[in-house]
Amino acid sequence: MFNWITSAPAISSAFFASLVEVVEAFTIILAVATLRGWRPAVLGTVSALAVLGAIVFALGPLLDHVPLHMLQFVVGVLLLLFGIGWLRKAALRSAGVIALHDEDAIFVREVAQLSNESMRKQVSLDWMAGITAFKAVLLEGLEVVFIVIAVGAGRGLLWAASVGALAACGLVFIIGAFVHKPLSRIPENTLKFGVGVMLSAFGVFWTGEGLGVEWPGHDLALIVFAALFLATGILAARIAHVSVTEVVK
Amino acid sequence: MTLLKDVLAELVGMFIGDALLSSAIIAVVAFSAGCIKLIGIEPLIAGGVLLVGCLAIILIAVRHAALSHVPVACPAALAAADSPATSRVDPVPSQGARAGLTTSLEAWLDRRRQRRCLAQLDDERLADIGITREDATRESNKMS
Repeated sequence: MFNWITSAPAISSAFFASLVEVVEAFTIILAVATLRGWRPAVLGTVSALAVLGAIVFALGPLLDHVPLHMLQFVVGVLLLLFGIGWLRKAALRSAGVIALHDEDAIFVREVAQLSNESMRKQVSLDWMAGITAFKAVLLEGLEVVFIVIAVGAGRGLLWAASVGALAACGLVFIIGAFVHKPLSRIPENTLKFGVGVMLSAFGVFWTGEGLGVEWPGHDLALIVFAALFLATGILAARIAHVSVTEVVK
Repeated sequence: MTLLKDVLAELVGMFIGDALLSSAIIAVVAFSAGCIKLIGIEPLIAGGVLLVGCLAIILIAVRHAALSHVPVACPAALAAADSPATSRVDPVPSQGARAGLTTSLEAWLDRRRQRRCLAQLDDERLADIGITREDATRESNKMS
């Protein structure tokens, strides 16, 4: 039966995490398309999506052979490493310690870099453009693939998580096609903060289950963990802000 | 080949972007697992240790990073950029004739702070202080 208490966090985590990654990839795809038209941009994107699809199809059946507790433990630890890393960075960004991601600046830099590199290496700009789009989608997509597998594999929710990720891709590409400029107004850091919270909560949940912990309230514990990570993340950002203010003074 | 290297770097960076943070997380997980498997503590208590440990790591890691990072608008480098007399960020602070360990430690901390500062400056600011992006990257890589 489809359990919304377990599925909703998995789908929403996959959706929002993918949204962040796809926005970053879209900026580079748009830079490529602006410079050389949509043909190399689409070719590079489709090729990278095919490679990512192949990775998912190869890994999917393999995961079925891994004992559930071991899978939960390994995925849980990886989620902790990944999620807490995101949460830490998002807290530092919201405290003003490190700079926010600027999609407009990345777009301008990418266009300039692409032109320079093509002139320097004396290669076809179309080829360079296609490879750039391919690389951007592949590298950002790897994170999406990991998140989908991580939040979906422990409870057989791979398809649900994939739907969340695909919805994010569709949304970004549709909006991007209409506005035709980098999606810099998307509150990336807030999304990253939220996704870091969810991934960390999943990380503790899966790692604990992998170690044989039976969490009180079962799946509902995820919501409690998320609330605790959210409160800690906000507190950490506040502490960072105060610390930086004192150092500057 | 470059693509493969980038993919590997991306995969490694996903999980161990900050070696200290990753080590702390692994240590908390290992401690919780050890409590259950070696000492025989009730799994739920070890789960609580895992949760509290992870929450504590976030607070400590963010505070540590905030104190060791300079703010986005780095005062030292911006001052250097605004001063026509300064062509480069001074790699070693000229604090006078303070001797001994304190001076070395202060110099080391200051170099570390300036390297972090360099890493955060944009190309325009770097050009203002006469440093190329390559120089800044090489210098800031000395921190790791």
